[in-house]
Amino acid sequence: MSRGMGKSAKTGAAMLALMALLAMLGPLISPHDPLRTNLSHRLEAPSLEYPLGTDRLGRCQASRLLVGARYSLGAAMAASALALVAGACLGLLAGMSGPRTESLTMRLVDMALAFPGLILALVITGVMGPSLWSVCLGAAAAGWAWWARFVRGLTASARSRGFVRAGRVVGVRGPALLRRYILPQLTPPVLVAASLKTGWMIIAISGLSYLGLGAQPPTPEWGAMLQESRLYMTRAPWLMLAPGLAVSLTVLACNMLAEGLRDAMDLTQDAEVQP
Amino acid sequence: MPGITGSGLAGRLLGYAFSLLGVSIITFCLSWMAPGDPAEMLLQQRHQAPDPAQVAALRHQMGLDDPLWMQYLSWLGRTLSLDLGTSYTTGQPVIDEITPRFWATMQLAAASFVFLFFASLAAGVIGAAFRERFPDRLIRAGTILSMSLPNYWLGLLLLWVFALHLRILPVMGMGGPEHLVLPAITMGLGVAAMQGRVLRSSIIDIQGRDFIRFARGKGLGPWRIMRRHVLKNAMLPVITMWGLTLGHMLGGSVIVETVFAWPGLGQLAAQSIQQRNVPVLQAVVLLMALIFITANLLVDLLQRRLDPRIAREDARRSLES
Amino acid sequence: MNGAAVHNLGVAGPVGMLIRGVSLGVDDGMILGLVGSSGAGKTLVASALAGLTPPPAKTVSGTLRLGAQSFNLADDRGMAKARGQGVFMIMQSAAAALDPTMRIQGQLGELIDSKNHSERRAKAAELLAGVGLKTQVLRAYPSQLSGGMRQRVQIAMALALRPRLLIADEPTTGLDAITQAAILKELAELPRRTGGSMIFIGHDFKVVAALAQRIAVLDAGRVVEHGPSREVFLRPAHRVTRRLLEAAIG
Repeated sequence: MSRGMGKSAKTGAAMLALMALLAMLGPLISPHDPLRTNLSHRLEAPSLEYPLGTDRLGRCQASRLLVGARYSLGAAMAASALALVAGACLGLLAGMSGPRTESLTMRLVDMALAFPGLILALVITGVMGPSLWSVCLGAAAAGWAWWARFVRGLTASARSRGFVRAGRVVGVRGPALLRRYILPQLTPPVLVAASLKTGWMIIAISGLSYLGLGAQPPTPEWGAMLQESRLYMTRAPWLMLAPGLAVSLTVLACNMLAEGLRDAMDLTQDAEVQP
Repeated sequence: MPGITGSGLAGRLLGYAFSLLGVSIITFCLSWMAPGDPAEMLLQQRHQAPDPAQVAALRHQMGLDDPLWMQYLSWLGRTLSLDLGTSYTTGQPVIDEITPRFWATMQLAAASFVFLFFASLAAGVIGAAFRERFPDRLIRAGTILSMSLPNYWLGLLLLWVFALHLRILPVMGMGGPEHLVLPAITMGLGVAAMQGRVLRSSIIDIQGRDFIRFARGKGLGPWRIMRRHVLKNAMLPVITMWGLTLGHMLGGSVIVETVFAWPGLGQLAAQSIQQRNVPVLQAVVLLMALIFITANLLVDLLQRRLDPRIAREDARRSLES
Repeated sequence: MNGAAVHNLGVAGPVGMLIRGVSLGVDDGMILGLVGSSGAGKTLVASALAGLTPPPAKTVSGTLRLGAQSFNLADDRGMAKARGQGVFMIMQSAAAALDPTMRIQGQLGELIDSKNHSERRAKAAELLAGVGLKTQVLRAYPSQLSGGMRQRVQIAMALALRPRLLIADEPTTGLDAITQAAILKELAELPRRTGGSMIFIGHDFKVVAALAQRIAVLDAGRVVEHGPSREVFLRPAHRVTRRLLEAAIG
């Protein structure tokens, strides 16, 4: 990091830290039980008692949003990590091994990349049946191939660098070559891409939940909350605004972090954003 | 997206063939990965009680007891002759069900593409022209925000503002061109922002090249240089993204079409998942993947046409290897 | 008034002046040679005279006289009128100067003042023939041509524009000896064909002295010696000139 973290990266990181804190403290600081229905307080506008109003069953929207953070963000983090680890391992394998393994791995990757990203996630979720778990696995299954290709490309270019070649000439091989020469070069672009991809995962997972494939009622997941709110768009627009804003702000934080890191680490290449 | 076969034209076509093969295998696998026995589903759809003997007979008749590779080949043969089976829910041939859906989605994608093309062009050109000054900063803030909006929420917001409050655009469904406006913007905004950013940095990069200085030295006016020399070169990295863009749209169509009740492939995909309508889902997935990889191939060919250096690179590589 | 002249050219870089008080003059149909070692500022002088100072460098002073017209070199907008038919620069690397995505026909054609497509094409073909290139070159992209052919395309452009002042910035760098000789021969005739004057920039004293009637020696952004080629060649006054001469003759 040449210039330290920029303003954009700091803002993004601070927003993400705040989100993570809220997600962890969720049940402790939420004013009400997010699952308790109260039909005498249906679709109430925001008030002191219910800061973000109540939903169609009279549940406190603010509490649902706070508690929902751990589902929405937790699932996205898990899916993102799963895709990264699986994809990066395959990418490293392809980048470090001989042409035959590389060609085989990349064929597999090309096959997975032949499907538009969200479609693969949709189908896998559909096959496994609706639940937060299957959405998580579906999104990870849609994401690993991008990582594999990205990491393979990085590895190949890292290996072609002069000092890596020199290291190989003097006999540095295998794990030592990987640890001392390759991995340090991969870290900055992988960090930037991971930040971007986590943003994508949040959108994908809450999107699949919006379609009813993810967290099932009464779980207060953000995408599912949006889905429930759309019938009351005219009567209670606050129901639609809050969860959408929560998703957008989190993704914005991820994007700002990525942008700031990219500037700070002088990365010129744009990590392309996957559909 | 060059695979490992090399990036020459022949390698690219070979990669396309491999992708087709992969897509067909994965799509075929869907039918036995999906829960529920196809024979049972078919019987239910005919309102017959699925008694075991009947199911077994039908399974045999449908070839479900054959080895997997035989099932694959016969499925492939049927698919190639456009026999995609019958829908579990309507009992209609799947091909009849998806054809109008295909056109609806293509219409939406085309409208969205027109929007994103001009929006990204404007954002990129203005951003580059006012580099690091107020309009550029504003556009950059706008683009990073647009990239962070989930499409289902953006769709709902647009519906809320334009259709329910201002009442200037129709709420949902298909109809005249005004029905296209909101879903097309919803589908294209994020990608437009992304491409605007790429175009901006690409324009800035090209403007610093010697051939642009040389064009100035020829006495050409700034607008002429922008149109003839800068944009043409700066568009190349954007065009590379067009294939990916279509993938983004097709994937996004599942949500956008659901939000706006647009009767296209995406909505059909979401519906068929909820209804466990495997033949329809299979057909939609196959079609979307087919559109996606074909579009990627076309984009690749287009690039070769626009950038003569690629063809030379290929020739050089094939001489070396 | 005849010829072209520059008075008191100054170019500033991010940390200080790069070119200071450069004044040169050249008559119509004549060639002025500008020599200097690498880093003396030759290319920067050439770019500044053509009104194309590359950022972050910036022209801060200087007047360019072309015939009876005067231009302020520090005023980029004002220079827009001079660029092209007033002053035109042939760049060191033709590969970098030509638009990689446009056929030669388009790049040459945009200098020909005619609305009619076939007329422009005919004129472009004629210009190419004037520098010894075949009509087929019109259909080619720059990457499909050899270095010598690309340099000839730049010369054809100069013929199309007929600038009052033509600047050639080491136009034979990277070419083989035979091509180099052919291009130099083409360049030597250029001022007579365009009717304007030419400043030829090079680091090889022998080449420049053979081509130019007068020579100016540039060192560290200043002109240190200036005179008829023969005189400078036979009786170099400045130590930089002597060093350049020794290097050239060996």
